[in-house]
Amino acid sequence: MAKSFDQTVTELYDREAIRELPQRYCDCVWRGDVAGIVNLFAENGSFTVVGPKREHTTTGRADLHKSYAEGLASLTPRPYIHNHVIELKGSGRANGRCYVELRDASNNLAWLGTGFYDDEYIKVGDDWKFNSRRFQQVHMEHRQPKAVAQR
Amino acid sequence: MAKSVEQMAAELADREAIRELPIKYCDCVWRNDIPGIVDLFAADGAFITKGRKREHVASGRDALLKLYAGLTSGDITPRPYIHNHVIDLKGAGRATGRCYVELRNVKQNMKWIGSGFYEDDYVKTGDTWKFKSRTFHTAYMEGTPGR
Repeated sequence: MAKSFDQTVTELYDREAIRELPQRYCDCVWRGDVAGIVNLFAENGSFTVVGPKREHTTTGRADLHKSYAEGLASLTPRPYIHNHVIELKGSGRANGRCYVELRDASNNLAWLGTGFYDDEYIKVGDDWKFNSRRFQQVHMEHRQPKAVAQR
Repeated sequence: MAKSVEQMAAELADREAIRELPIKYCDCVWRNDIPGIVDLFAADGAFITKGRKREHVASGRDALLKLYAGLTSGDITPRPYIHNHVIDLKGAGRATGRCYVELRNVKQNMKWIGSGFYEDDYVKTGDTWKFKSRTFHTAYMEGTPGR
């Protein structure tokens, strides 16, 4: 059955709000806005980093805040997001995937690596949030410690 | 209170029109379409460049035409790629946004030369959204020590 006009507009509105989540995430990372990043997650939201040898998950806003504050201080990434696909699942749930390139603010914005996020989104009140983000590294340049890189 | 479908449709149309401004800007820069760039600004629109040490402002159509006319005259002929555009609708035909750019240089075989971001103010002029101001912040630019 064809969607009604109201359904179509509501879906477009949901997709627009979801599309903005990874964009705002990158914007916050660029500006070092840790509170802004964490506010994009649901209260019990989680972030998982999947590396070649290990996987690490952080859950809940307090731990996310700590993890992002430490991570952004040591890595200084500058992300650019690409290729965001979204699937609305109904009942305030959706998932998506988007691809990222990273550059390094501590090393003249040299290319740092790339990967993708597998995301689950949830509608909390009128706002869409990350229920979970799972970052899968595809390639990451070997990075010298900050003090060496700045010489 | 939940938004009506009419409010949602109007916001979507505004956001789509605003999202297109930085994309059209890049498209015009790629094609050296100077009048096209300047047409994206309001009549009193301004472009501000902020480096670490200095700031330059071009305000109004004539100043913008003069500024962008120099686009291809230096060592750099930029080819921009825009990313991470976030938009905040403020109501009453005003909005703000931020977007990030990577630049490559035609004169160096499209070598990557730098990156930065734009802080934008948007204004609705009649039915059309325009740049009220664009402020470019350099994050890193090759050949400009200290930035």
